[in-house]
Amino acid sequence: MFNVNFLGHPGIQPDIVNNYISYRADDEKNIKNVIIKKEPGFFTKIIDYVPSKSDYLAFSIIVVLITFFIVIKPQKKLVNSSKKIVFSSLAINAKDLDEKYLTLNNILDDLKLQDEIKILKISTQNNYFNFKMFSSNFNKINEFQKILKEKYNLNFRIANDNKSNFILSTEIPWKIYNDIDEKTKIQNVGESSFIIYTIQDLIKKQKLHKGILGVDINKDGYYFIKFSPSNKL
Amino acid sequence: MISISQDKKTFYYIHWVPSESGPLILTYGKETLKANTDSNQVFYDILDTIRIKTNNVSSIYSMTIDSNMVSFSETQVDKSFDHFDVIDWFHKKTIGNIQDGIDETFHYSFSKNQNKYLNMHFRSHIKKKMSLFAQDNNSEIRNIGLGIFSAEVTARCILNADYNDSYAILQIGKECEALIIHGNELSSYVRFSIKNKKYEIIKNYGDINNSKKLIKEIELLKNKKNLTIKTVDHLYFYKKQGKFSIVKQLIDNDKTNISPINIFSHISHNNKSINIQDGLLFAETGCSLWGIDV
Repeated sequence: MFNVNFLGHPGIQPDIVNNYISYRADDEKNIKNVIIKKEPGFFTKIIDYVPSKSDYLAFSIIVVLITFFIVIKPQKKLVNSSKKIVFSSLAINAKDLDEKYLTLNNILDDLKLQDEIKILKISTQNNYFNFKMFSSNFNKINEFQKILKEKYNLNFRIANDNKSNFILSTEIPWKIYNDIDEKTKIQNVGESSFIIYTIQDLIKKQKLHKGILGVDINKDGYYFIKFSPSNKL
Repeated sequence: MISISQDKKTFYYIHWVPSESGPLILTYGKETLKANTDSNQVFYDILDTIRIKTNNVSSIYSMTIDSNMVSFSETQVDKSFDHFDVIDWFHKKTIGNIQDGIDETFHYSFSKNQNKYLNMHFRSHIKKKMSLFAQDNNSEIRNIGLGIFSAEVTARCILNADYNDSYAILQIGKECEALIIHGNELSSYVRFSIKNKKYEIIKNYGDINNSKKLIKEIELLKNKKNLTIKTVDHLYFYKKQGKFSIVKQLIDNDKTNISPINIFSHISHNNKSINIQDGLLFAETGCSLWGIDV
């Protein structure tokens, strides 16, 4: 379904639902710099442009890199090692996917051992696997953060909410692919152990990257899990 | 971000910021146009009034205008023609050159099996006035949305409406509107009213059969002869100004596939609690939450 925005160009409108963002995370810090003014033309910009020292440096680096890639062929070993970096790319190849599945599965296994830490919210929209956990015990959640950080080299953030809980959140780059054949659709309510089991089952069957996952907790402490195959990308 | 929606001469606004536990509404309210407001200055004046009310020197704004501010038409394109060429030709023949006109026309595709486009003819001066306001106040206009279409974005943001195979958005007012979406594609956009306890279509764009079925079900629901909606998997509703008995009926109806679009029950806010009927008036402002984790 499209989003109407009359600020765009008139004419036939594409289905821009996936790249239309009405709010950006950096809005708050950049808002004071937003000044709408008439931009000079393309040729005026080129004529008026005076290269700085950093431009010459950047140009030299580009020349060196181009020479490197043309003259000296990159070794396979180098390419493979770059794929080991979790944040290297949003595009998931088979190896990246296995690594990410392994990381998620291990985090869920670690979470099972934590009595005082529970899932708060999971969302796989917007190219990130967004994972939030919570606890009323700061020491426990801080200790858990250190364990996960050390084991999986992920960035975590701790915040507190208005109910005296501490929230531990992390994001893993995640891309959802279309799955024309797959019809798995899950809508269930259950306890945290059931939710973890359901997600680990999706991981085991390698289906998690083929749909949109959402987990929310309600007032009674029960979880609502939704998983639907993607047909939007 | 300050998100505003128009309901004729009344403008509803929310001012929200991101927080660790999701978006947080700092203030909300409504502003009504003064009787002597120059029609050309409406959007500049209302943005400026809300800017002062929210104590903002510079900010990002999202504006949803009333559907009465634009004109609609529908174009059927034969499969054998290139859609872009036909629409361009049709547009030049009927309206004139886009560059010379005072309107801007936006074409949105209905579901693929219909080969139809919904055309929205938007007055350029509205955009110019808003841009002028942004320039004068070191601010940015991020989005200009349209009535029920913004409420549909809200339903996707906060209620995951697009998880359903089909759903409908119902705007309740003196004149009602509905959007029907099947498989994430627009099936129809319909305007209707009540005459002698019966709902009558004023204007329909897209698949009229689906519109008729949905309206019939809403009519039965209002007259308490039926309590469920079967045309679509889920019905999301909100209201405009005024008192309408069907709103209470829908709120009280505990069927799982009918939900109110009340942003205040999904987003934290600093203010005192707001009753659900008043909360529904702000449904269209929720479109500014698109793209963030609610």
